[in-house]
Amino acid sequence: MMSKQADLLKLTVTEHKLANGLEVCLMPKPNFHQTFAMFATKYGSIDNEFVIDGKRRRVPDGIAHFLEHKMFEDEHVDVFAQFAAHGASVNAFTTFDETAYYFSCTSDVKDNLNILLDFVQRIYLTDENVEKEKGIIAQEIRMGDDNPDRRAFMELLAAMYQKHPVRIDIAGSVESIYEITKSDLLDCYSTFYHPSNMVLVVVGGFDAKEMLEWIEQNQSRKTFGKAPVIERVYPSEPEKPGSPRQEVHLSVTQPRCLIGWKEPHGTSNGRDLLHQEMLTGVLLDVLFGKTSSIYTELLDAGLIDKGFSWEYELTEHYGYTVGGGNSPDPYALADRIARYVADTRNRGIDADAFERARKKAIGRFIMSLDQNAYLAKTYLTYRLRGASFLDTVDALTSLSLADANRRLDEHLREESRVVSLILPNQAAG
Amino acid sequence: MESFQTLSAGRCHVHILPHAGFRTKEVSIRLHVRMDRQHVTPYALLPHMWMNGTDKLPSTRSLTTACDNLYGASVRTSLGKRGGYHILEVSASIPDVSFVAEDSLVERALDLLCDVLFDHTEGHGCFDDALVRRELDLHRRRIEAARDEKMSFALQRCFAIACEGTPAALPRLGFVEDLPKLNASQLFRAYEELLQNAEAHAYIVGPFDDLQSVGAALLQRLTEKMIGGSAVPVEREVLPRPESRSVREVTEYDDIHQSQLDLAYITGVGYADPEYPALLMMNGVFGGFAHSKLFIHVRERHSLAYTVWSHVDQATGMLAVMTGISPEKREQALTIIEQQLNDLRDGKIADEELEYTYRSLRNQYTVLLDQPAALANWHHQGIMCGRQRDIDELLTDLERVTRDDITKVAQAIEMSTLYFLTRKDEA
Repeated sequence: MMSKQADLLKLTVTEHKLANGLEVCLMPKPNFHQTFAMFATKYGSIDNEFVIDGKRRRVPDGIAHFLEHKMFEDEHVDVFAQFAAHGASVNAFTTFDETAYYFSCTSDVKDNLNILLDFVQRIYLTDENVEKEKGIIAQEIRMGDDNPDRRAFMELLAAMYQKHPVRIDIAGSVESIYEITKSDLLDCYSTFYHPSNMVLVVVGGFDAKEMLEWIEQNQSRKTFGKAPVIERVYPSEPEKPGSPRQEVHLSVTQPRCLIGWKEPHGTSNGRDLLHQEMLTGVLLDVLFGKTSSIYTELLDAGLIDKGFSWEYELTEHYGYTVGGGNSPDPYALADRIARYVADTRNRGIDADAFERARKKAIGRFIMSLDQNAYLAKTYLTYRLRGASFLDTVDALTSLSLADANRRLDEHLREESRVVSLILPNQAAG
Repeated sequence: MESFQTLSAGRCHVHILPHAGFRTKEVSIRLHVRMDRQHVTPYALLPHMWMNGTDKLPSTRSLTTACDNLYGASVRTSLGKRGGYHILEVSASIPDVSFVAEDSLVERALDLLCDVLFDHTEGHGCFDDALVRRELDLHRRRIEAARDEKMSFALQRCFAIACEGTPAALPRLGFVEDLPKLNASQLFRAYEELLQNAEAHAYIVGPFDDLQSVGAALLQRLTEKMIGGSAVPVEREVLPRPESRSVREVTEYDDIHQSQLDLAYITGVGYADPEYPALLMMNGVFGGFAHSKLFIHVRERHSLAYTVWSHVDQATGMLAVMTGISPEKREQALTIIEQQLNDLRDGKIADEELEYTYRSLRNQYTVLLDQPAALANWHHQGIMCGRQRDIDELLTDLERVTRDDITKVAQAIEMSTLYFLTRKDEA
């Protein structure tokens, strides 16, 4: 068992790997009423091809998300009702590389933990309950189709990536989900839901030692077989984007303009990953934040609104910067940003602005520690990617201006830039 | 539950609550004012304008730079609406970074916060002509963009139709057609009127060393700028139950993939009323949670929707049901929703449904105790609804609600509005 006392953060983290391979991370917070627990598998929408029984298997798009829905099905009990009986609220989400199940409660923590571990570690599928889910998920996809921000983002990745499945919508399409069968779902479940591929994070008002024992007891009642060696198959992705520009027409009043830069590759070293995320985040804040010259210029020119924002994502296999927002003239906005980035790459960024953005990132990280749900979710995502979120202050403190300028030069290159536009329907009415 | 201590003078109030164990100090100042047709648009602009600069820091850039220099203390403004009241807020979240920084952050952040609200003179800072023109254009786009979020747009339309003719029907952001008539000096007049008429409630929550003196200093600054007047109780806005049954059906069209079906029911019960806990329980059994009747029947049994919820508006006592469906499923969805309500009216509520709903509500409210900003919201909601409910006291009231109480509430409610947003070609 590894216990790490982050003195500066007034937070103790206990990390423990159980005999069956499950990673357990506990962050007790003595003054809190709430306990937030998240149980996740390193399995998301991009894992649509893998080796099972020695054979390569390509499954329909959207299956990780479909499986997430189906995990709530049980032969004898209603999972939602079980949590409700112990005063917990439960939910789940699927991302490109993770499926997570979580609850929040203020009482009966141990009962709720058992329910969480048990429902995710038991599957109940019938042809009927698989069919029934298709109508529900189809409506979830339709809802996303009407959401211009989501559409702009998915179209950006579809343009940026030529082969890698990060270019495919997490939920798949209405067509692809109708292809999903019970046996597809079982194959995915047996491959990716072994405890050795999963992490449990619990944050809130409990005692760490007692909690760990409780979790160990729960796990010792079950047998999982030998940990499978997971072989994921990803196509080889060219360094350059597939297409520089993507346009879609929707029923919107305001056009959307997203601009992205593709990383040539991901990073598997956790320390490097955290360092690069923090560095790029600070760099983007200096370049495009509300204190930048371009923000005021674009606002004065009417090219953006106050929702203009930027973020960076890096994983083992892919990474990208994405930003922008609503714009009445998205073409002019994309051009202006391209010129601004080219100029700044020649000039370098301002030392004071860099220092200010770094301090701001430290302050924002400290405040985020009060949000149990955010803390658990972020800690877990970094954990699955091999990094430790609580090293954030160290990572931020170690950044230098020279690092930032090097990052600007290597990442925000003209040839890796992609633009995604959502334009109003021509015959809007 | 620990309770707020209040310092008051005239129409200004400062509520303080020490709270250890947090790394964030929360301060907010909320001005509320009755909405009317004449002031709704200029008032809606003010919080957005305040962040464009003060007299001392006359641009967004200089103002935001000052915030970022405080270790990212987040100073922001927002515009809220409860019933027929506008709530204009300035707030700050201040990180406890005593391990890396000097300790005057709180004082500097409070200065900045007060300046965002008060450090404005006519023609300067955010009331500069060019900045006002920029904000008027942004505001037009802000109002128009609300149409792009189909689900919230549909709910807001349904709500406005159901409260037509009352101040609660006025849109939070105001009206596009008012914008061309507004200029810097008119907005400055509106700002002066706001300071003359609004009532101010400030909240300071978190790990402060000297909460009393911080609170007293803040009250002093508020009363210097908001002179005279006295606190006025909020007006009751609970919509009365109609005397005759008539449902207003409105269908509007948009080129969308999913149709939005929203229903508004008049309950006649508001936050301050004795039946409010029964209404909360009724809503919980009906559609507030994933164990509720709507979720089980509309989503799980009939696969009609991904989203289906009901919720209660505390000010007007309106209960709204919202769902996103295929256009051809409108009648089926409506029948199933009404059937669930009829079951409630007939007292068809299992013991488990009562138990789960009570426990879910208890969890929902107990969690608030962990969040400084949520505690401030809770207290302020009491101010705005004319009754302070202690969280513990509400939990006790909820536990006492019986099946009969819920049935009575359900029997008394009537559908007033059916709103449907859908594609034209498939109607």
